[in-house]
Amino acid sequence: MNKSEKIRLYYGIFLSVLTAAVGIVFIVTIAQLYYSGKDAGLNVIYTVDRISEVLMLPLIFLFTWVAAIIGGFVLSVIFPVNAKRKGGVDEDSLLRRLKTKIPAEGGEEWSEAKANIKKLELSRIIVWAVALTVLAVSSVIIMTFAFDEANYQEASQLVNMLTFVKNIIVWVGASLVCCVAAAAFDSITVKKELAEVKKAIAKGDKNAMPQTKDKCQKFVVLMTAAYSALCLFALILFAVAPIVINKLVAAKVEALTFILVATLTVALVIGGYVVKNIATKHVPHKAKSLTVMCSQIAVGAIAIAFIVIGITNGGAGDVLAKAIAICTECIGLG
Amino acid sequence: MKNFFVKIKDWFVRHWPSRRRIIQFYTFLLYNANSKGYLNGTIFKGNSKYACVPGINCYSCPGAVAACPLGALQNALTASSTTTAYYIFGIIALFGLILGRMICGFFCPVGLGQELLFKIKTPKIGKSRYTRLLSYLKYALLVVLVVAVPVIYALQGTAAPGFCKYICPAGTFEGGLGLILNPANQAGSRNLLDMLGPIFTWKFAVLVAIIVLSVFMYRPFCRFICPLGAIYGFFNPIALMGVKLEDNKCTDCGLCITHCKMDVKHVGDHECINCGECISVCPAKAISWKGSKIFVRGNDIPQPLPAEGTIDIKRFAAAATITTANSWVTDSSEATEENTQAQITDETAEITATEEQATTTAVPKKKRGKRFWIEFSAWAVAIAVLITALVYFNLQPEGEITDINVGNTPAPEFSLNMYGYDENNSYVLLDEKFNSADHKGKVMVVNFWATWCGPCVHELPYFAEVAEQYEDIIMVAVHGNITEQPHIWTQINKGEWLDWLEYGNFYFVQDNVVNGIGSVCTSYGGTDALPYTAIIGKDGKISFVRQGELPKDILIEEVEKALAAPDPEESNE
Repeated sequence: MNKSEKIRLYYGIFLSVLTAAVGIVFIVTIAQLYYSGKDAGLNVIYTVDRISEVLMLPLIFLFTWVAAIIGGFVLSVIFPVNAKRKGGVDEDSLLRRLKTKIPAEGGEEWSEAKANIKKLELSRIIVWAVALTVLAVSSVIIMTFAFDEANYQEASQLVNMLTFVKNIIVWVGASLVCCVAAAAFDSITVKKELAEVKKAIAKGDKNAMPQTKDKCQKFVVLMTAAYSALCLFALILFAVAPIVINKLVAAKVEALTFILVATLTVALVIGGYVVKNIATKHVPHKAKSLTVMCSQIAVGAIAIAFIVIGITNGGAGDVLAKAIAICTECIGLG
Repeated sequence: MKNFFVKIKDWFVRHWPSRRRIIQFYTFLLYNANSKGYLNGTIFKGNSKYACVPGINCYSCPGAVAACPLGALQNALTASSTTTAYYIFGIIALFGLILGRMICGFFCPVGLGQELLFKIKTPKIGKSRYTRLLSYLKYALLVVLVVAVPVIYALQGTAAPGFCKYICPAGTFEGGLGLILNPANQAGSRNLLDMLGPIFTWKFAVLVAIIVLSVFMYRPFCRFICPLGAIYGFFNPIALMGVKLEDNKCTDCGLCITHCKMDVKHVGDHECINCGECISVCPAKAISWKGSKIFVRGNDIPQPLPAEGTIDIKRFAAAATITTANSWVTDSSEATEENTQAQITDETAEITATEEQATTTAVPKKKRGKRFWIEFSAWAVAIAVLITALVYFNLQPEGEITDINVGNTPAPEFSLNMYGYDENNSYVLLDEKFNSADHKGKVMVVNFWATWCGPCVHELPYFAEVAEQYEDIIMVAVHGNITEQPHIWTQINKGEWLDWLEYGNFYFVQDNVVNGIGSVCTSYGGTDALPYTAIIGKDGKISFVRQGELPKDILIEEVEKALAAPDPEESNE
């Protein structure tokens, strides 16, 4: 490490510590201001006088930080960086790519490697399935709690929210732990699997063609065809939508229509995602392009129709009504 | 000395803002063209707020000239028991279809702020499996805070924009600090400091945390928190603009993914913000812009055109060490076992990418042609639009602001239509008027509220309780309906609220709307924020005003103070 790099490293460490310190000082200051006012029973906690009393220290830190940043840019002029980046390889992508290169035939070591790869793949699937199951169960429990009116009996919205958080924190924590554990396990398993894949490539018969997955072709083609039909249905629906919508008087029926159509739009968008990213090899390029184009037209037609309906039913007016008044909740007031 | 100035010049040349950066600054200026709002401490109230900007820009920001799509979506969902959210859903779908997550990369001020903070020279936390896992958090926030919370509270007849209220840093920074730091909002009837409480404390802490994280991580808000990015991410594959990958050219080297600072698995997926930085990295030139005829150079870092006949061997060599058995890329004709082992090594590939070496293809120097003039015209139009916007919005007349001198200003008299029962026993807006002059000499509490205002709906029952407790006062709830919706009065047709009319001293009335603003509210000193409360003493003067939610104990205290004041006849004697 030369002198320039050393200076930049020490400066970087210094600025990191200073940045974290500035953040901590600001957060502690505002928490202290709030809680000291609350404990003193003040009706108005944030006054100009009280804020002025506590502002000195955070401002000193802030100005020091700004000065340090400016100093950093001066340093970058005097000691310009080489812009050398180490390009680390993304293991998941590498694994996906290398798996397609495994020869179709090989000797004993090749078979052993293939068997190990299957075991490791299975273990990853199981672990993720368990994590996602825990996540799904937690989500259902949380949603059940969220939609239970009995949990909103307190007068204060903040108290209701805190009670809600207190009740779901266990489930959120369980989901988080499961997902992090799954990711950690996945990380370790990917490394092992990568080693086995390399071994399989090395020990396989170089003259044998690499295996290609062809099992899902029919399913993907069917899915693409179904998606195209959905696009066509959406187009027809919106050709007649104005007539249908005009006949709906009650708000509840209108809402139901909206939910159905919104679900359709979401299905179109997600379908486009699936077609674009999954149906890459199994569907001819032209068919894929045509399907995506149909979805673009369908989503565009839905969007324009929604905007027109929204203008006529007063939705646009509601947007204006909120936008020209200060949303006190949004900016932290109240 | 000369060397120092050469270094400065070199630094400016290397760090000149890219086209994408200029577009980001441009959109920030355009979104917040109402510069005088920062000076006056008020928000813009013009009709341009019918429209939404594509990115996150809080409409309570003093400079904002249009609505925020995320805030508007939540507000539309809170009103979903009476109006279905067609309009905002259509707008978001249209933006997503045209631009996808290119909005995040080019047209969002929050993204710009994070990228500028990321430039601060500290060690950085790179992406990993865990950040990729964390990137799914924003979908959970979308479902919970943006959809579920507003809908749940809407079913109970109150408004709660979950994400805006508890998380959004744009609201805290642009709106909150932008308004509070103006001295005009620190005293008098427009005092916003009175309204700061636990929510602001929490949100300020969230804002500071995101700012600090942005110094160490690339776009943490966009990657882990932003629900709007989550929505637009779904549209990426079908969006009309953005980056595209040509599968027939792609050699699967993975350089694009390695280079990208977002948690992408492949170019153009739901995490891709379509910034275009991968375009210059791809050795096979497989990545380009959709509609690339419009763009002259698609990459973020300005690159000088190379000399004729130059091909960057190093890039192709780097790709060859990672790719296996792609003979049309590597120099070797057969993949021997040794080569295979070398090729599939997972040791890090050093990619040297200095500005001088960052060449793309062997392209001869072009003369100024059609593409130059197209780009020139586009920039000229864009600058003209920005200047027009800045001039137009800043020349708009300021809304009426009434200064209230508490204790001295006489309360303006008003006559407004009442809500009540008609001959069919339906609760409607009547022709009968409430005249404030009929109640002279009595303490009157006037509360300006709206059905879409969560704090208003939350505090109104307290006002009813006080009206029941103190029979001598007059309690007037003035609805600041600023749309022409006939269904608004049905929103207040709740079972328990109708009982308040039986107290005999509680009235629901409808404000007059002038240019979208309640005129009586303005005459009493109210400006931009609801709820707004004014207490009129027995002497007919305004004895108390408060912008924002009024705690019950303060309301009782002020009412008792007004009731305890001597009658005007007694004081004359």
